[in-house]
Amino acid sequence: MKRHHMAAVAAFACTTLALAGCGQGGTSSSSLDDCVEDPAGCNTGQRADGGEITWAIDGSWASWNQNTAEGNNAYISIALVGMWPYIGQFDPEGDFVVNEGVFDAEPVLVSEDPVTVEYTLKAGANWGDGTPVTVDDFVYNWYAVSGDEAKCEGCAPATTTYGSQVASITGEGSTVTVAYVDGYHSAEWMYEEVLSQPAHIADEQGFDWRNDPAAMKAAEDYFSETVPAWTTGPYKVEDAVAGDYVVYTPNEDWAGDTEVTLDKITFKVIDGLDNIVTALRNGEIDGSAPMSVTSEAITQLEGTDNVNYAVAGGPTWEHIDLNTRQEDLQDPALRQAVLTAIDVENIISRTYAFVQSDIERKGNHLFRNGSEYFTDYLSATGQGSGDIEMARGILEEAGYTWDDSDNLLTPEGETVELDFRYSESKESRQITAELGQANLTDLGITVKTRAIPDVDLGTVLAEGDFDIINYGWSSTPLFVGAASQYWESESGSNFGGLDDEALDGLIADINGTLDYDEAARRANEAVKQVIADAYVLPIVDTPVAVMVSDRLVNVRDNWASQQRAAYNLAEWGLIGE
Amino acid sequence: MSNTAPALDAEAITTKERGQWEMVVRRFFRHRAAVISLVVFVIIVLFAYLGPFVWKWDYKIHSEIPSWAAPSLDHPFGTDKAGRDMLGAMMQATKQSLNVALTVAIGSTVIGALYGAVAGFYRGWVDAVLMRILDVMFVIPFLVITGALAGAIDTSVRWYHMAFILAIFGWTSIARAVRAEVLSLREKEFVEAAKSVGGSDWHIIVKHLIPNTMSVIIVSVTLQIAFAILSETTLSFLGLGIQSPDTSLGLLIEAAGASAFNEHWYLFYIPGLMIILIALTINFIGDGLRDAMDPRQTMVRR
Amino acid sequence: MVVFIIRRTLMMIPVLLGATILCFVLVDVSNDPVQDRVFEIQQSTGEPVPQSTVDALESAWYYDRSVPERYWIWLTGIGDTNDDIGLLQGKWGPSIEGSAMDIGYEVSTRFWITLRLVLFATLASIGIAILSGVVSAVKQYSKTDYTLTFLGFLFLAMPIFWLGSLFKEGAVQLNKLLGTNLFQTYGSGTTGFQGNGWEVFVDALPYLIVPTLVLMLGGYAAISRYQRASMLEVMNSDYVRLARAKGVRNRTVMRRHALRTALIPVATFAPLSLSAAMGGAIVTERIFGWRGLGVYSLDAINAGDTFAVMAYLLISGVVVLVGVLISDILYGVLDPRIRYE
Repeated sequence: MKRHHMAAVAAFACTTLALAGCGQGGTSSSSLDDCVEDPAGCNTGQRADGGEITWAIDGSWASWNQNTAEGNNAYISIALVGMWPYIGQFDPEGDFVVNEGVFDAEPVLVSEDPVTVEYTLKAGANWGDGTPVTVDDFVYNWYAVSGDEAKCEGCAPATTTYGSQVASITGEGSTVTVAYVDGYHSAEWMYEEVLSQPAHIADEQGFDWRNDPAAMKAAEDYFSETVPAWTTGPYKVEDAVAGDYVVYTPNEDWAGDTEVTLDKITFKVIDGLDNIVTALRNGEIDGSAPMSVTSEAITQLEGTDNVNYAVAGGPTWEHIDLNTRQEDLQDPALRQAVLTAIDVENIISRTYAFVQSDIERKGNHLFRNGSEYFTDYLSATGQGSGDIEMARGILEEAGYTWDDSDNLLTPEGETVELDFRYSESKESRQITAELGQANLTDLGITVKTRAIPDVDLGTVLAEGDFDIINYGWSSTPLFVGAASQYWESESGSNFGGLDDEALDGLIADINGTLDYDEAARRANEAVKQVIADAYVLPIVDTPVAVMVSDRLVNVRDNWASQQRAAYNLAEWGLIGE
Repeated sequence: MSNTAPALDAEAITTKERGQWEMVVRRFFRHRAAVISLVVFVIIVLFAYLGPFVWKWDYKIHSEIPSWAAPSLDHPFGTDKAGRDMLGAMMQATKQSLNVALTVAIGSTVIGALYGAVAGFYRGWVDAVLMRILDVMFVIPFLVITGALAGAIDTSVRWYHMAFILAIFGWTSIARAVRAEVLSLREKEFVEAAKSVGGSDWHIIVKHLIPNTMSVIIVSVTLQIAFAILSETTLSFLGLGIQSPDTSLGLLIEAAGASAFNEHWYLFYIPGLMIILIALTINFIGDGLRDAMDPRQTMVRR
Repeated sequence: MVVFIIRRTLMMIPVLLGATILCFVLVDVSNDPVQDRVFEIQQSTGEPVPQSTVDALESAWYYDRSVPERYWIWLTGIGDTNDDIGLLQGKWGPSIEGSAMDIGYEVSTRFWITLRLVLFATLASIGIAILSGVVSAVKQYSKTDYTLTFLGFLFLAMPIFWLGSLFKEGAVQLNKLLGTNLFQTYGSGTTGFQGNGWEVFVDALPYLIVPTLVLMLGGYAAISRYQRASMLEVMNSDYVRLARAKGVRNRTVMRRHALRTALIPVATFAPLSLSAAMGGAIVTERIFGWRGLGVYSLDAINAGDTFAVMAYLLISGVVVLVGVLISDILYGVLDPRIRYE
């Protein structure tokens, strides 16, 4: 809430500035330029009444139900941002803002044993048809994502981390209480998604979801296939085609306080960055925040009047992983040396720095540079420094030698050959692999670079068909689940097969506290341990761009939200006079 | 058709053939557009295969090459963002596109000629089955099937993968043409003669039937080159073809994006013009060959 | 004639079946959409995917059975668990993209989008081809003839994707120059536009012009060469010479005798070229963002969406075969020398 307030102040500040050039003519690009210093307050301005805009989304969807595996899609989550009952949003500074249209305040922890959380609904919070949001809707969502065959038979929820941990949900008036089972102990209790679809519509459609798990599944299927006419957000869906477009008009029944000015927002799917940039230059769309950016696109945008853009670290991060199942890489000393020999700064300057000039090397696996929990444990170890002398020292100490032609020999006297894999369509990853290859050659290691066809990345990772690999993970402000997913020895996503009991212990500890700050401290312990294991080398938060017509205000990118720039849709507007 | 004249003696065929080929060559050289095209095409081939030995830059990224330099004496075709000399890159891309095209032309012609000759020679149920298989291939959309196969390769797609895929799906038109020829040839006396002296079926097909359909085959080889280069570059453009570390003219155009009218125009036009030039010259050469080998088919004599 | 049509139609069935088997195996064997999906979810939620969800996906997409079993259920729907599959029952099977994407609905709506694009382009290209073919033939060996012939060769050699990218960017520049938004670069009409037929057409015009032009230029060259050759053949035929010898005016000879006969091959060629253009529109659709059949097939292939690829294959296969059939029938109707028993 605090951040929200600040944004309002900033908006006011720009009103007075408007006369002094805060958006005049071609120089208004300064407004998005401010995003480096003021990520949550840049490009604010006074809005005119009314207006229609079109926003491009760079991918499609084929299900309207975000609960399900098939509906778990970043693009649908953007397309439905105007109406979906999200718990809230992290703003670009990582501060949490609760959904003002549904909740009166942030949820409150009322008991720690078992964990019990109380939600207070906003007065007047409703589903767009006047029907209030009630405890039934919480229960409906719980059943849908429970992963429990007795509640929803044959359902395929994308994640059951929340649903499977709920013990009971009770409610009285505007207060809803969610009690978790004994095992639940997440410091991120505040951010659980507790609502999805309206229970009363499931009832109206004749699904007896409360008592019949098959009917519950049928209700979920219905919501997957049906364009949502209901809304809890500032806008309601006027017209939509799955994977093509969503047209919004204002929701008169919205309970939120922010004033909505636009008359119509069209979210339209445009495949491919080049097509988006061309459409923007041709005035067919007013903006977009695509998932990737190239320097070619930026050149095009630079040469275009009336369009502003900003490039910043986006919602994924690039890293180089080692496969600890590989015979030679089982030795921590070799892993240490390999990660030390790779020159991350050099890689960045030849790849990501082309699109984002102020880009920084990423120093922590779980917390972004600049986050209040960020600590750089990495630099001190020399990993990513490209210091060949140091790397050779590590190897010598571990009993490695070099033959006459400077090939590295293991203590058993064998040469070391590794492959370095990367996604073929990502030029920066290809260059990363080639530069890494050059670094390791200096160490006497023979490296072969091998591309991975885009569709096969998942397979290659799952099968562990790599020695060294460069790919990306999503980076949200949430971290509690991340550590266990990446590194826990039993995790299906621990693709390099790291098996470190001490690390497993530290990861279990993260889950052992309900205090967010304490959990972050423990997460950093795990980061320290994973660096000691020389397993994963972070490179950067992958740069992404937001590109916006200069007639829009209050539009800015937000790495911390899955909805990116659309996180504050209610505040969007055309620039005022 | 004069080249179907009966001949029992192999030696007789050779002498006869030589005279015929001389005629063909002479007629071909009368076709001005075809001759110019042949010269240009040979230059392109030399550019692609010998150019890299002469030119100072290869197709790789070099840190001393500036990004996005406009065409100049140092870099006649300019440079791209990553610091790649475009002349060097063009040589490599043209070479790999030509590799694909030539491999496809030869591969698909061999498959198609044998297939068509077998179908035409045996007729009956063999022919019926083989032709139904051709129908099946005809129904499957070419881009879809080749794209699906390219997608199925689980390392990155190299030029020889692409050549293989295009060859095994690109031979159907040749098979039809050769079959039609063979259907009429098999009734001729020289086939009867070869049979009567105990020549095996295989011997007759390879030694007698296919050589006598050479005019059809040679023309289709040339047209196959144009077809292969257009399909390969299109698939690469769509992201279903050749991938890095190999390159292709289609990939270069794809990388140039929408730069046709900005300062990086050369990245877009040069590879495009190269494709056009190859396909155009090949089509003219094919046209000239057709006129030269089968004067009856043409009403134009240039 | 009726017997001929029926026989030819029946012969399509084994051909289409063969094509579906071949295609099914090739597409299906090379993909594992369940695993891909699971990986995607992991990357986006940052949490492991529950096994029950993996099982549910497998059973929903019929990936809990072997490839031959999957083909069989796709064809017949016998053993169907979700009542959504079985071609012979008129069901296309589930799309792995999601349940809001009904394959049958997609291919039928997209069929019209592609047809709209292709129909205008083919008609225009046939018109131009006849014109330039006739002019070329009448003025044989003239400068005009050589220029038209060269242009034909040029467009035959031009990759559609290059021409499309060029024209698209050219349209943007023209817009900028004129200060208008005459041309749109992406899509086939204004998003969510509703109105009567005429309004929809007017709305679609800015989207239609450039891609139609591209497809037209890519398609006309082949037909034009064909037209020129057939016109020349007729002009050199005995009956035209006879008409001339009788002193009939040149114009009349051309119109009455030569052109009419020379149009027969092109008329029989038209259905073929239309069905070929339906397949060739893939690139144009991709560049100009038309949500047509071609782009659908590309996306389906990239995603390993086997049932969607099958649907596209069937539609395009039928279009091609019907094109061939109509062409053969036209040949019989127009050319008095040919009769079908």
